[in-house]
Amino acid sequence: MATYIIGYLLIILVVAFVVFVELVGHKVIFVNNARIQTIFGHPLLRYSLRRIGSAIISILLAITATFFLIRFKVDANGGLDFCKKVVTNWDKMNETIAWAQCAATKANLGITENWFVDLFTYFFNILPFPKTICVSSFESVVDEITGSVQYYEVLTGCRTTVMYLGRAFFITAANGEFVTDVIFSKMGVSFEVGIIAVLVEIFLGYPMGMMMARRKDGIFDRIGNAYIISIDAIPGVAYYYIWMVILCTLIGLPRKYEAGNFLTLLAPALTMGFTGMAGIALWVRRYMLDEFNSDYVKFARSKGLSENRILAVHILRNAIVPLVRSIPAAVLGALLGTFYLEKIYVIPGVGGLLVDANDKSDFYVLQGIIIVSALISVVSYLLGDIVTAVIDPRISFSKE
Amino acid sequence: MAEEREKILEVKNLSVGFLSHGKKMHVIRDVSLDVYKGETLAIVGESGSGKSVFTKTFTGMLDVNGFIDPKSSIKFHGEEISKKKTTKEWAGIRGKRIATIFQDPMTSLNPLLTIGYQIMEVLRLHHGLSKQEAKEEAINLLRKVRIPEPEKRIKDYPFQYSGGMRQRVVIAIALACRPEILICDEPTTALDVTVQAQILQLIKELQQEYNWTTIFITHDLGVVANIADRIAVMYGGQIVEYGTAEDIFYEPAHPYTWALLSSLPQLGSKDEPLVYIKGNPPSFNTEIIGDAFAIRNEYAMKIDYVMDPPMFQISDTHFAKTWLLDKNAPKVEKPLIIQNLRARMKQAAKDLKREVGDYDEK
Repeated sequence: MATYIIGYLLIILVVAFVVFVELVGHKVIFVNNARIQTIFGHPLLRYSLRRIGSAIISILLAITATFFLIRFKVDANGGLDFCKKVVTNWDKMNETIAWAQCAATKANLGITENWFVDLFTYFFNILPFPKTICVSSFESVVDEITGSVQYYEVLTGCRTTVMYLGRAFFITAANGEFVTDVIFSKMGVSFEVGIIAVLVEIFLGYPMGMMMARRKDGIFDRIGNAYIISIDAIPGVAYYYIWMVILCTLIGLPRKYEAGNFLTLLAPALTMGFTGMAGIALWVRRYMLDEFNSDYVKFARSKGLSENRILAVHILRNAIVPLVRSIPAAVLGALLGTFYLEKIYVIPGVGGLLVDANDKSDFYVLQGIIIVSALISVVSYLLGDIVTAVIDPRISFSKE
Repeated sequence: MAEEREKILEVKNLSVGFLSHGKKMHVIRDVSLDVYKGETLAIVGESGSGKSVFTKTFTGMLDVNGFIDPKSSIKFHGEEISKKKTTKEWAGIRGKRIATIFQDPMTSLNPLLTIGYQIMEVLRLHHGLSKQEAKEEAINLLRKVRIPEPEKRIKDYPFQYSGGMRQRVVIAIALACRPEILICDEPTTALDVTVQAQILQLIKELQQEYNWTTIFITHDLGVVANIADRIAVMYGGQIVEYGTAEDIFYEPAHPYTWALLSSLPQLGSKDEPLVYIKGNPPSFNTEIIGDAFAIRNEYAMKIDYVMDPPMFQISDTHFAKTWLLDKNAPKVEKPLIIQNLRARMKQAAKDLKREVGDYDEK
């Protein structure tokens, strides 16, 4: 009950906020308080709301498209391919019983004959408002005398949830678990590794690019360039293996992931960080070199400022403007993990989950990952825009 | 008369080269010039004549691959500055006592920092002011360069300003250091004509108030006529003629100066074709033998292709580097336009007045 009240209150608040902002922005409401006027009438705020609005539409379109693609696959060949996949020992079974089992599985998944009814049920389930979801499992029993098939529906439980993404049946060790639970638990694992990797990337990549730019063609620049080119030239998978050999075999870090053991995170995180660092250093160096030759840096030098001050105040800040946009994407992207990395270090993360779900046609899981990654990319680009606007005064989001 | 004034800058036998692809190119070749306190010296010449490089040596702002020949000497108030290399060695001179304004105001200011910050930065560095003092002084400076409502505009960013306004801010930054020498490297080239006049007027007025020395680099003789006390004409990395503004405009002696003056569009009349200097300025890839201008010079003599002419003295203030002034040289007639320059200038002024008058009547 409390979830319902809080949930609906939140929805009302959000809707009221959006409506108020739009009304203030369009000057329908005049607020005498200058502070309220500047906060609610801020172009960045309205820009963000519009971006979120259009993002919701594009996410819904993406869901629709993937939904139909998956359903097309399920119903292809009269449903035979799908049934063969989900019913174990299909070939050895009595055909009637096998089809009955398949029908029960479909009922468990919530698949009916009508695609559109299913699509709208799905939309209803993913809309973020509190609802009670009751799950039941279907079992088929064949009457041995008459040969007819009967279904038993067994209610397994009800649960109040905000967003229901369906259930997972076929991926490893998921016996009708909620997709949200599966994804979030895997995300936690991916994020543990990913966030360390991103920190390594940023805290090593930026200084590396800066030092390379500062003494262009110096010894450090040459070594750095060699590293960057080698990372670019060698395929990612091969690179991961090289780092694995260095980190695990030579240095002796544990290779296999264990939950709750920080030391086991190091090898995968460093592998990813050392690889990603090259790309960051490349761009930091390039943008900084551009700034070195700019007129205002020459003017700053002619003002008599010290080299360190010019570097810190005039060059670095300008050089990172085009780069900070990608930082939120990198941090949030850490939630999604990388397949190869997870395979090498045996990490139970989202990257492996995606491949697993695709192999086993666990399409609610697939659909769930698509929604989550779409949300993540929308949010991270929006945050990227906001961060850029904060450090670059030239960017304004108003139309004037 | 000039001899009695205090020399603020003495340049002797300055040679500057650049190292490019393992090759040395000398772009300033043995230049000597004195700059006197409080004067406005204009350095004119076409693109690539070495004007900017010449003045960059006064603040050690040469590009990384540039070098000053060890035999050269630049003395600022008697102190040898041509041997200084690092920013640390230049501290106290660059920006503080010799300030520079660059050509393009659109790109001279850091787009991410406020106008106020960029002025205060200099004040705090060179005068050690506190934040509050620096802010007050910055507002004062903006008022001096006639930015309206400086208290509000100090928080603005450069992109909110027009080109003319930005050049005013750049001037305010130069002013902030209270420099003894202000080098203006084509400060009005990127601006449109009416704004040009305003900026020139501003520099002129501020110079009277602060009593600094201006070195004005330009390729526009029209700008020079307006403000210069003395003019040095550069060609091919050398000063080919220098003297007072009167000397250069009314008694020019070097064929290159003649050519420059003849090609001023303001002085041409409608029935004559526009005069221009044929050919290109010399390339520094190969060593220049003889007079660099010889190949483009219709008055060139055989000796011009063999020997570099020395600097001949014409009067106390007027010098030119051409073999035409040698006692063995034949007498030549200056181009027609130069001969009656005074009359032409009057005519041009009258024409302008008439046109403006016509316009007013309409």
